[in-house]
Amino acid sequence: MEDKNNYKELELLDKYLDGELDSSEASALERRISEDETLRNELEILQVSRDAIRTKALKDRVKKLHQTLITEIRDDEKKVIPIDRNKKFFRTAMSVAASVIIVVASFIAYQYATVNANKLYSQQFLSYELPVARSSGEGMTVIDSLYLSGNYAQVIEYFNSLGQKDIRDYFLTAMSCLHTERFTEAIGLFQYIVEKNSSPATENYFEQETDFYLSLAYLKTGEFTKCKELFAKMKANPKHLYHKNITRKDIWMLEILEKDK
Amino acid sequence: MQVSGKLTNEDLILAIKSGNNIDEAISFIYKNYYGLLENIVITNNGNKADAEDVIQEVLVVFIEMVIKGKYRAEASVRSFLYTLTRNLWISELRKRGSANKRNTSYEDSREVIEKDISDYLVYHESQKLIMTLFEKLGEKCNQILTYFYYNNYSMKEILEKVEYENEQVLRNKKYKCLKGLIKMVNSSPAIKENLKTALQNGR
Repeated sequence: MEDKNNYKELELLDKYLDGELDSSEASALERRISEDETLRNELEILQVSRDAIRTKALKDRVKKLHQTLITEIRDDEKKVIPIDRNKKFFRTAMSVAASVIIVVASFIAYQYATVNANKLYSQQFLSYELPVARSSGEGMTVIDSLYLSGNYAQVIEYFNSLGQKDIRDYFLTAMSCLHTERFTEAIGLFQYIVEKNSSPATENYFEQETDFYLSLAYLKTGEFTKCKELFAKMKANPKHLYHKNITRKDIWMLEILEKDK
Repeated sequence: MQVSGKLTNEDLILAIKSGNNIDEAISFIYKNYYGLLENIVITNNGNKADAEDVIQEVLVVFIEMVIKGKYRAEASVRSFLYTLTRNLWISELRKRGSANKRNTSYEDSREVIEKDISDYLVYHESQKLIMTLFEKLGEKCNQILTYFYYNNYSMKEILEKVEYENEQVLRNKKYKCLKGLIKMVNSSPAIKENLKTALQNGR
């Protein structure tokens, strides 16, 4: 009997959450909820429990899909053929390569003739996206919101007016300098971050992002050797955030630019 | 709505909110952002298996936040997922007791710039605890309550899927299961404490 009564109460709360009570029933219940802490607690727990049931179902759905999708992703990864398992294929490939060497040489000559820093820069440049979830409002700095809205000139202006600046301010301002083609200033700001990060007493912020964007700034100011050193550093470290962005061809192009200078 | 090829952020959000194209939205996210998200875990003391677990959880949280209107379009989906992955992975590292110097630096910045997400993740932690209790209710209760609250099936539709004599018997079973869950939640101090914090943060 007690259970049955309890179920009635629970059913009432359940219907309330579903919006199935008429206005007088809902008002009467709301009055009771405001006066009765136990009932209020019961409603909160019911609401959260219903939510958890949905979350569990969604979790199962994602898990099921994950199994299919991850197989496809791993299959794609396997399509990169390991060299040592395909020696025979490579022997054949080498003989074919000999016959097309003239074509390759022509291609290299073409690359040599057309390579330039601007082309490499525009191929590499990715706009840095601020990893935030909120709009300009509480918890967000002025620089964050100016950067997020693409007001790069104002970011620089605001930065210059700031008294105390943290590494994040330096990084976003350096990025704003890149966006506004103020490359020398960008280099100065990035170098400040590198210097700060080299100190054992401080935490490392934006370290890998700085490697990448500083290298691009060097590219634009014609400091190809410094750019190449950073490219080589990122390429040599598979765990570097930008490892996949740098190819051997990029480094080779930089060598051409270095020689041409 | 046709969900194929390249989706804009708006398409993706609409696909999730409509409820009809969630699988397609998940598929799109995997194809376009999985590598990026996996990299966050792998480059921060994790492995591929860790990344798989974290990314699944990220998808669950992201979809829930979109459905509840907690995702704001000012940040791109890519950026939002990046932040979620980073936050969840840091929490996991902290749980494992291996929060190193770099993690701590992430942690410090997180508190300032990503409070919305941090607040929601506190609530999500409560949800995870309740989900484990929900599993303890048994298969029958799990099935019935899922039909009611996730699939939004009517009594009549559920009766066609489960073996109960009539709607009244099914209704009693539903509330018996629900009551059991509420009782377990009420007797768990950890959940109550977590919920209190989540509710204070406005979920």
